[in-house]
Amino acid sequence: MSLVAATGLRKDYRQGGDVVAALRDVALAVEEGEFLCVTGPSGSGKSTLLSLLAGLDRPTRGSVTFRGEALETASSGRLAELRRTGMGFVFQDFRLVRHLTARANVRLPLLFAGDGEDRADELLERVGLAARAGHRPHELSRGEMQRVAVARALVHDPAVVFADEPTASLDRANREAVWRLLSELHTERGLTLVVAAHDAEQVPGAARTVRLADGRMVEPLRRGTDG
Amino acid sequence: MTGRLGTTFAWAFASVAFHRARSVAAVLLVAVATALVACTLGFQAGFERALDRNVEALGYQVLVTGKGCPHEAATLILRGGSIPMYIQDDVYRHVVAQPEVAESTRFLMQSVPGELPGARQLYVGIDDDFLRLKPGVAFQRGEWFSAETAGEAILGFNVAEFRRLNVGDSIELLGRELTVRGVLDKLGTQDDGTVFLPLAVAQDVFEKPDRLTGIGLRLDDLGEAAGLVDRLYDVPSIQVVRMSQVQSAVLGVLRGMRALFLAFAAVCVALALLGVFGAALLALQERRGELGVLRALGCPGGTLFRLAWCESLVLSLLGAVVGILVAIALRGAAESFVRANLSFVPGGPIVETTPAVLLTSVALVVALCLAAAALPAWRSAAAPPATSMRGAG
Repeated sequence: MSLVAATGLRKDYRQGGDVVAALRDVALAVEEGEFLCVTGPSGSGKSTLLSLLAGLDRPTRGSVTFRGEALETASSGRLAELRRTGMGFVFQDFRLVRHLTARANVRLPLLFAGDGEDRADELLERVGLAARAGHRPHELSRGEMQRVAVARALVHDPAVVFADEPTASLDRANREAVWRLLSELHTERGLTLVVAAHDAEQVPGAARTVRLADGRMVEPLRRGTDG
Repeated sequence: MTGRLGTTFAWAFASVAFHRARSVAAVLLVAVATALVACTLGFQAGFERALDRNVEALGYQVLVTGKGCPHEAATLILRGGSIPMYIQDDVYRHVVAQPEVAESTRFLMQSVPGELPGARQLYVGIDDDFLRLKPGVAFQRGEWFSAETAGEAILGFNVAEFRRLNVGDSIELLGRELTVRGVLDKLGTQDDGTVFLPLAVAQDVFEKPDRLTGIGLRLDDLGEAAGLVDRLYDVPSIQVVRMSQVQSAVLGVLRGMRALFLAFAAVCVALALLGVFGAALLALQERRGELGVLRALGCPGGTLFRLAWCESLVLSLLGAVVGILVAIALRGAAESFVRANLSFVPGGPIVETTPAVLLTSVALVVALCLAAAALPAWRSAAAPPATSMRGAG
């Protein structure tokens, strides 16, 4: 059984009076411990696909399963429970809570889960931010903010981490540092990673890449890092 | 559970502190509403109690005055002033001979221009029965008149304080020198601002020989008052009124005023609710992306609602606390406003900021604010995370 699987996935959005299809007939399976990269140009549906795979949104048609459980029919409470126990997220624009310190931001998933070992400090040390734990987001650089977001995605030991263009708003040095970090964590912990990126060349370490264009999967699944 | 609750509050406080301008505006609106509600409720409770206290302090249950409007006369006597209606001293003997009468006292009330511009000083001539009807009256210093015709005065507490007079000092009244014989303890009524003279001296100084402003009667059985009033109704030149009727009449007028005050307070509360509702909407709109992220990280809907709602709770509680302080600080101004705008106001404090009044005001305003903030909080908790994050950009 795949960790995450999607079949016949379609997502429509309403724009004014028109219906725009963001995803059409996408089928995808993510295995445990896999590092999958979803690429494609802007507006190709990468973010929408990750949202549907993570249960952040519901498909217009089709099915998504996480550990065999259908997400499209699950209640919003159940979806939240699945996310807080089994999934981690890294967003393009960090999405840290502004009035909380780096440590408090990292601890958020533990707060919602109500239990679990507090590994916030350990993870902040792992991402090289132990000394910045007491700082608020506006006191951190963009690269540091994204590393906090990575630590937050891992603190509750999720089965899979979804990262939506996590380096898009970073400079080259920070971009490389974040990819290196994600790649190392994947190797060290056997972490399942599903990342969206504009260009597969940017994503070192991805074992498999799928490409989207205009909401469709335009290339069959491929193994390796050849983009 | 306690830990989560503590975290929820800590978050709310952190968010309130972080968004200072928005928080200050909401807190101020709630504070104004709380202060106005507290003053209105305090006025409602205080006025009634002050009226009871003043009527009780008069010491009599039935008032006999000269012909005219009995309620006007009664309120003038409560407030203090010159009443151009007199009864003859010999009527007194007829009135006190009635079988229902247990105690009685005669008085002549006059006022003359006081030391401050526009102010008037009240003088009341009293007889020796005065103290028997007022068991609560005590001397702070000095004692009762040495004789029924002695050129002496007993001062209310405020008069002695304001004019810095002591026992043995002299005061002048219409060319007559009077010696201060005693100073009364503070009573919280009209008596605090009154100068008392022996009745005969007052009749002489004000050139009202054998004239009385009124006769106060205490009855053995108040249930027999109706019979007494009916019988005295037949006596020409006097009228009789029960003080309980006066209280009812004054409170009837007050009810109209109270409705106006409550309407004013309601408008202020509505403004505060709009403020809190707006602040909650603004906060949640501004935090839409943040709340979406929390939902994405697996925050349960109930927790998200609590987080959003708790911020409104913190804002309204802070506003209510500030409002209470404002109400306490502005109590004097509220009293002055009421005194300047009502024709009759009993002596003593009339706006009570008691713990019960303050707690009721806080509970009312906070409950209404929380109700106003519930909808935005629920909407933010119910929105799908992707929608919230997308909408917030």
